[in-house]
Amino acid sequence: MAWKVACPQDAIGQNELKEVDVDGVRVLLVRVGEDYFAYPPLCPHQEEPLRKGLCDGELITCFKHIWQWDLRTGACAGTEARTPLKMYPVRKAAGQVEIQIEQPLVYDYDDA
Amino acid sequence: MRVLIETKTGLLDIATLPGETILAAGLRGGIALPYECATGTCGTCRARLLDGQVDEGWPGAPGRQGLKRARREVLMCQAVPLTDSRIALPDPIATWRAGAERPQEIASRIVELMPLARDMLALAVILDRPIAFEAGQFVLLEAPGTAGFRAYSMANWQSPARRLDFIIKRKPDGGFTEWLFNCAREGEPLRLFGPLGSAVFEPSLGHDLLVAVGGSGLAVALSILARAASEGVLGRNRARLYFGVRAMHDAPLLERISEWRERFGEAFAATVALSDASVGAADRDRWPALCFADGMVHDVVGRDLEGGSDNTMAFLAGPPAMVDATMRVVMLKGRLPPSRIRFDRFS
Repeated sequence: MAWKVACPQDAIGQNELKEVDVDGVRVLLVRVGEDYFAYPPLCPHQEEPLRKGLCDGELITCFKHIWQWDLRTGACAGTEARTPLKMYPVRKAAGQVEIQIEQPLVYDYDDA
Repeated sequence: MRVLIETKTGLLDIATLPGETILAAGLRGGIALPYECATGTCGTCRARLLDGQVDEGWPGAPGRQGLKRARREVLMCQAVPLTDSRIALPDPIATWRAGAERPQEIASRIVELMPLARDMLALAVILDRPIAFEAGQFVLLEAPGTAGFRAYSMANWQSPARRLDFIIKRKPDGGFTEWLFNCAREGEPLRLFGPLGSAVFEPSLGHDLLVAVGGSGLAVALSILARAASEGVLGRNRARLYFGVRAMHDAPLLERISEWRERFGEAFAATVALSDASVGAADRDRWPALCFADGMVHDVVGRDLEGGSDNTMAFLAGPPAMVDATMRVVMLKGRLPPSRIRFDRFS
């Protein structure tokens, strides 16, 4: 399993939704306190970039149709979302955020 | 043409009239197909064409950008079947909202065209027959000789209504608005399809109202407040209006807003948020019932929402960037859940 450097830990602000390129794969990173989380960058509903949405420290919200997810588990929250967020494993090492990527995680948009 | 629609909840069967889009035919038949703008911009009504030929409509539709050609994705609001067809939708179909009127094409003619502000007109049409619509809804309008519908929210409310009022903002390169500003005359016919939209005001929910609008999004506010006023909501509940404009010469209809303040007192408050130029002393004196604030409308809303907001339903209407920025503020500072935010992006 390959761990890949995504970015320095201090390059992400609190509750920021930051899209980065990890070895050619676009990844959405979120920092809450000293915890980091990583997801595919697009909403599983209609491919809206999630970086344009909102992170309040507990939930990620896509503004397109107000789908929401628990940022720690990716589980659907609120009343609208029907598809959970996929997540990449994340670890911290030597001041960097590292992500385990074997294959880019993608959604089946026929099954939203 | 006959169109079969495959969904998670089963197979639907609709029939389109000549020239009619799949979305219009479905909604007219009471099938709650997914859509938002109904005019090719948002991409919400995308579907996969499994079989058949369609005219895909407006080539420059912004909502097409996200479509996957290899998967034969189309926008239902643009697609006019040329043969019997079969499409697939990823989303389950919701049930038709209780009490919601089915949209239909209705003949209408212009009865009023009046300048309101810089690059802004009041348009009123009379319908051949009355319709019931909800405050916050819109219709599609098409001018004679121009191709394609444009969406406009109603700026009045009564039910049923034979007269619909609109606020029209002039669009650069906009065929419909150029026709309205330069050529249209009272008495001329307009093609009209509606009512549409689910970002509606429901008085029975008993919420306080926070209505934040930008530019011609004022129409949504006027419709909601007209209904709130006529059904006795103001008094039981409070309403706060935030109206974002660049400068005072972009702010029409302040008389009407001011009258609501005088009529309903503390139950209604209105703030005009000015992004580019502060209000002058003369305008402050002229409108003593209104508040004025410098800044973008979402910043002004945010200042008032410090400390959260209970029992409030937010209605947001206007340019997409304004709606999104205000959505961020009402969620973060107002702590409003998605179920208490209704929005209409004018794009």
